[in-house]
Amino acid sequence: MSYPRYWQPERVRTVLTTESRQKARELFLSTHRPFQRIRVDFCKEPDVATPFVTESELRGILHAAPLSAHNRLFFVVGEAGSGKSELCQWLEYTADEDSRLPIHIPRSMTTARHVIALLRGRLNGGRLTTAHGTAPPMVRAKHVAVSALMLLYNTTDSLSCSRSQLEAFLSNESLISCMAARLEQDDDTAGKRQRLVVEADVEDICSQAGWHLMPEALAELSAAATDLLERAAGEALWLGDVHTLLTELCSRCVQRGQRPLLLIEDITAFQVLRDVLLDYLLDLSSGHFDAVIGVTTGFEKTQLAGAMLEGDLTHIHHRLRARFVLTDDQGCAYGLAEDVLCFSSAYLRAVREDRASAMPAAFTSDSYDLYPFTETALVRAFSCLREEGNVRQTPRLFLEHVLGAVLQSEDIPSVTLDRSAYLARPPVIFRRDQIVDDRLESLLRWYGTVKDRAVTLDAHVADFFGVHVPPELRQGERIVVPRISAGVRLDHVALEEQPRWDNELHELQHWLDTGERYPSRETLKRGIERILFSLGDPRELTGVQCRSLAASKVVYARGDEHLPMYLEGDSGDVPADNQHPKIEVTRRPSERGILEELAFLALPGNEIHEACSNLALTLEWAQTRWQTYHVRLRDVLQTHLGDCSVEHVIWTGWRMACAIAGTPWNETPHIRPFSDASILHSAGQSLWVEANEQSLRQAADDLMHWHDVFRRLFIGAFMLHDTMLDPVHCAAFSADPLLRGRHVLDQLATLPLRPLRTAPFKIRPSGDPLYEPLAALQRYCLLTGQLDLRRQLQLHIQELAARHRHLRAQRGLQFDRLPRLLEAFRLRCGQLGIAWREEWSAACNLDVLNAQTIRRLEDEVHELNGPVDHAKHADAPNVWAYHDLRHRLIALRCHPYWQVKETLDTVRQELLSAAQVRYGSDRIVPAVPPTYRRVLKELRATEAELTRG
Amino acid sequence: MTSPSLGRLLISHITLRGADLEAIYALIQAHEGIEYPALRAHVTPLNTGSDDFGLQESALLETLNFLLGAELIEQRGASRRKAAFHVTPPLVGQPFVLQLLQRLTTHHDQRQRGLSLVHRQLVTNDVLVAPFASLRNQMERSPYANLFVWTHEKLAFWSHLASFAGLVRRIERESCVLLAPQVRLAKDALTWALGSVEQEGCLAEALEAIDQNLFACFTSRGRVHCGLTQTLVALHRLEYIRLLHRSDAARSVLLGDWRVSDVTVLL
Repeated sequence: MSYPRYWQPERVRTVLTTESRQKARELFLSTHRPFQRIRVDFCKEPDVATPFVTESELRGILHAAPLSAHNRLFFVVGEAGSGKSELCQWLEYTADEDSRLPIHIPRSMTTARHVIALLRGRLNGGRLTTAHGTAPPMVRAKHVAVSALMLLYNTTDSLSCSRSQLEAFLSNESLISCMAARLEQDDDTAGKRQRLVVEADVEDICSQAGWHLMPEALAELSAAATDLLERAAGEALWLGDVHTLLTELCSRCVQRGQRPLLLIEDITAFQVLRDVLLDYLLDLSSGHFDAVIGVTTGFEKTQLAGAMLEGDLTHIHHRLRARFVLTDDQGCAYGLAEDVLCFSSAYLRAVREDRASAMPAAFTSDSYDLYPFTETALVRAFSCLREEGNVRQTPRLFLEHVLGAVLQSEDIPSVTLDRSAYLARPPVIFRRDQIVDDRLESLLRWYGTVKDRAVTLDAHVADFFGVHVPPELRQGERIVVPRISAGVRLDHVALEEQPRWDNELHELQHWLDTGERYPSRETLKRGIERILFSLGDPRELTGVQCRSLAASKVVYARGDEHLPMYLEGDSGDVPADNQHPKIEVTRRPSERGILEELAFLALPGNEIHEACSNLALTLEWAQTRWQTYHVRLRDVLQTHLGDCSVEHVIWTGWRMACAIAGTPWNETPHIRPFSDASILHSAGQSLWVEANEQSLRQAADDLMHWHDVFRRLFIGAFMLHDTMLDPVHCAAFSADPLLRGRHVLDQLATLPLRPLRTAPFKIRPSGDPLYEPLAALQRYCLLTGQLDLRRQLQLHIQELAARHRHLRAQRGLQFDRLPRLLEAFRLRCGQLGIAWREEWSAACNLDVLNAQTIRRLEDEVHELNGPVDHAKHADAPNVWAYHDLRHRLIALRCHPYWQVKETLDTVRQELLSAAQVRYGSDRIVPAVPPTYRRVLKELRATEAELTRG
Repeated sequence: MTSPSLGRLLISHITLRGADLEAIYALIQAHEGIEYPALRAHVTPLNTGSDDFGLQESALLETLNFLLGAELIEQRGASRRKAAFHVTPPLVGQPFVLQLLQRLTTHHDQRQRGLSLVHRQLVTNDVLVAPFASLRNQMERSPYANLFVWTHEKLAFWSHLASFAGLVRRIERESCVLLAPQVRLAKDALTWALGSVEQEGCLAEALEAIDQNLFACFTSRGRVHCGLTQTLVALHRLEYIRLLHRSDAARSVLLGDWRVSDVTVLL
């Protein structure tokens, strides 16, 4: 359906031209909007303070040079369609003609022949001539042929035909005659030039020369020859001595009191002449030009820089007087967004035939008549301009693809905008189930005003375009349609889910907009949870990388299987606190799309790659939340562990268990399981045997109860798999100064464990609370920390010295007599009424005792004395070394010799006590202390007494 | 220098994982010329029990074999157990992952490029999501079908290694591989590639350098792979890089519908 138009298509084509030169001067000046923001770089002009200038200030800069000043080179840089030509055209029209001679080289005039003709025209008062204009046609034709041969010899490119054939053709006399005839015709038509050779000429020349070529070969020869000849003609006939020409042009202008103002709209399109012209202008002392050269950004960076000997633009930039930039890095014209209404209004007014009558109020904004647009539509269309996916808010795209397209289309404007390949469609942000008419949907999309809860539109706009509006959408003079989500593809929602989805998305959008209550937030949470779990479980605090089946992990086990989340604002969630972290989801605008997609992901049957428009972006978003939550959980655990990390606890726990069990390790750990249950159960008993070590004994036994838990945690935290340590991690802990001294042990000993008792940290898969093994470790660390190691070591030194003395005294002992003496003991026991116990017999295994055994034992005692003494005199006695020494000491104590000795001492003691009772003799009162020598003496005495008896 | 048992396919080291490779490589890098016994001491837990079948060292030997096969390290010595080891990084100063990818992509033996070719095949077909179950089928129908016998184990190893490198995301719960390179890898690769391109900041050249040296970037139709496109766009939106198109730039690529000529690494 049509709508009222106040313009003719022909008029639109006249006003909205691609090139500014296509417009008449008056029309140009009536539609030209002044450039208000032109960024200036590399400026060498004084008094240009701000980074932006207006076009008038730019002209002032151009006109500032005195007549005799050397070449001044200016670049106008911008994306295609940003207004370089417009600016050049405006400079041409508004140049001060008393002091400046503008020479405007438009984009369409970029071949060498055209440009040189234009320059010569300026030199000769408008008459176009060639460099060889006075030479006879035959001479010029020969010159072209020779130049073409030179090009052939110099080219390294592959040719479609053979070089020898081409060489013969270019040397052919018929060719020269043919070209001369053409040149003569050109001279007669006053510069209206035709091609020197066409395919038919090539065919004639070949047949005259007697060359019989197949059609394909002829076509290839023709293409190669005409290309070479045209290039040669351009260089030989039209280019001439450009340097001389420009110098002459300059000097003539200066003589007339004018500086030549060279306006080159777009040097991108220049071919042969570009390098010559730039060489001339960059030689600053070569003339008196003010040269304004338009270049596109990409061309400047890649091709212009590539053409320079140095490969970059430094050489050019040093010689620039100023560089004027029309677009920003995103390809948007500076100042156009702020000026878009005024800019559009000027063109729309120029297009309209009846400019006097007022347009409908719905299409006016401030004092601008914008019909058939509204302010909203123009601003929205401008912001949606794209070219190959890039934001390109340039005047040309706006004129051609917004204003021009709409004014020339038969459809209503919004439908035309919908169809444009240069406009990114705005998302649907209203409930489409209420919009039956596609044209109304389109109209709302482009013309609708977005409010918090609805999209609204002046009903007159729809009426004017003849778009039917259902009565239920009308609210007085306005159309009001409730808002829903943006971005998410409703097509992917199952039909039966759509109402629910609409509602949930509406709530999500409302929360995103306002932070207010979000009743269906569980949907979003399940979507977020799904993407987070795809990266692993953030609650696993250790052992993430280990692949051993024997590994255990420390996990945060608060709540159920769902990840705790907090949606910020008044969504209804309880915020996290320091001890109970949650995954925090914010409402930043950059996250909106991701959150909508994740809510969508929670719907049944949706896959991640279907729900997420950019997987990498969503996964990166998730990774950041995952990591933040994981770190916070570790921080919480850290608050319970002081300076220690959980890895410190695991390292120390396993090392301590090994130390108690007598299988210590220092820098390189082992993971041997203690398969012998008796070792486990008696490790503490055998290590801490003294009566005053009861509490240590108990603590050691308690810790050993958790030895396998610590072992598995160690595997998880420090191993890559069953047989490979994580060498980097282990090396870091081996070298950790906290672990080298008592720091970690002291920290563990003084940890306030009460809060950890209720903290939700568990060990997976066993399910034990982390508190329990940690409490056992703490108690043991506390008790070992309370030990006065120096005093302990001093006692050990004394013990070792006593044992050594004792053993040395046994060197003369006759071991072969011992069984007989033991038998005598037994006999005496019988006489004194003492029952001989089986355990005495079992303990007195005299077979293991001989001179060598005792000597070896003596040596061992002596050897151990050294390390113990060394440990005692160390700066800080080491608890790990002490465990090791203690194990060695206990091994010595357990030697069978001492068992025999102790048994005999016991027997002797009982015997003498009984004898004293029976005999009452002072002679047989036993002496103390009970050394073995004394025992033997007693035995001998007993033997003598028995013999006597 | 002696030759390792290089006849074994890299893709057959199915028990290995990227972390093992990185750990051993880092260890050798930190101790240039380290000998086998020292290496074993660093890596193998102390053990007094018998190890008649050498199981304790098997993981280390397997890892060394892979690194030697991939030419990331070299051994000097009569035999593996008497040798000293040195790293041979192809890209000086770059992270291990880039070194690994470079070797896997440019290995002179095509069969040893198998790990790289799986990704290349999927990228060539512009696959974004590959279920685990479909990988074998895809490779057996590919031009690389006859390189060797494709097994689920080999492809599982590839998915683990590619996930470690950041080439893909292995989603266990969904039983699939997402072929969108991780942001960090893409940024590292771009940073490296931009140092070697002729035209400063040229994205097309950078991607070609990555395609030739690190991992596949282009589909069979010459377009940038959809997953990589998403990652590049993500990098741009997260402001790790800046992508833009300059009019008349000599070279440009299409990221989806977005034409881009230049890239700048921002952080």
